[in-house]
Amino acid sequence: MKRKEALFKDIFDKNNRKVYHLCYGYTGDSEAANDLMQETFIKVWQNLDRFRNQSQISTWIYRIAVNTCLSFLRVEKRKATDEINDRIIETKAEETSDKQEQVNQLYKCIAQLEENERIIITMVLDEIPYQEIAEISGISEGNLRVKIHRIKSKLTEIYNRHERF
Amino acid sequence: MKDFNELKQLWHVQQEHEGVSYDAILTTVKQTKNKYTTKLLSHVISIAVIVLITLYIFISFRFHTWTTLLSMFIVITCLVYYMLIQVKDYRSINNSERLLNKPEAYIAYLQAYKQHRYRLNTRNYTIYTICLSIALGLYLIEMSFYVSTFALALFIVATVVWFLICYFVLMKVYIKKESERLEEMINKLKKLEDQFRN
Repeated sequence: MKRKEALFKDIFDKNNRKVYHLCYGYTGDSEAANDLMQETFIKVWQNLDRFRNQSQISTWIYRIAVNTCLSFLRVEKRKATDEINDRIIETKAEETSDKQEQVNQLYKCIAQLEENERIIITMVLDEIPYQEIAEISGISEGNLRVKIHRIKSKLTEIYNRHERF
Repeated sequence: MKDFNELKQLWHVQQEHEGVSYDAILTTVKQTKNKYTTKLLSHVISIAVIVLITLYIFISFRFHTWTTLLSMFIVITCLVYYMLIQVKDYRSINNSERLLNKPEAYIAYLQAYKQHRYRLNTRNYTIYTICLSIALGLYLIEMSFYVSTFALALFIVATVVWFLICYFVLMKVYIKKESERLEEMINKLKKLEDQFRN
């Protein structure tokens, strides 16, 4: 048990930041992201004995995180997300640095993408290799490259549109 | 104007979040299960208690007509059936292996699961109600030996009215609400499935 806990701690320390980014990018809401991250790591703990080194452990964890995010099916999500983000940005604007404010704005722009685009772009931003993203999302690498190119343009356009106002 | 590389640099300066810690997750794992499984588990336990009480009555009391025994048998069968279905679902949702599937396969599983739950909560529930009504009707035969005709008639009318309200009002409202919710959910899952299709 102690060995499992030590292994889990190591896995958590190495991956929690990126999993949080993925969940935040998907939900656009830090509280929901925390819930989804917690749910993801609970599932990682429950399935740890089943991990057989068929892939990298990070790929395996991302797959769980992606599927956990996909199960997050709040119907009113998009609207609620935007409202929450507006509120977060308004109330925290003074407290946070200028850079952090821009990061919040970036998350708000990611929230406007399609669900799979949100998942893919947060992984791209976190510099996860394309081959791994392809494996996690179940999309062929060739197709993924085309998608990534399109999402990058889309996100940059949304961000610059917001920055102008 | 920023290009994508600038957005990427921005991404890497974001503050570390102070959210869930490793200890908090382990404590949660040890202490609780998620809401949905807890709800299902409480259903299973309450049904098991009712089955045990019914079995106790079945064994301890002397009934005079075979219709009452048949009625109790129907009730127990219904309850056990319902309990088995709940346990099966409980195990299925707790079986995290599917989480390791590719997103497309996982979405397909979620769709099938939601549709199955809808069928269970609507069509199977109707059959369940009908069986319980038959069981109650059979028990009324025994009851007719002990109570006055007026009391019996009153009981029958009250029971029939209650079942009619359940079936034509409560059930219809429930089915309408559930099917709207399910349709919205399935549409969303279909949209997701299309996004992940190569």
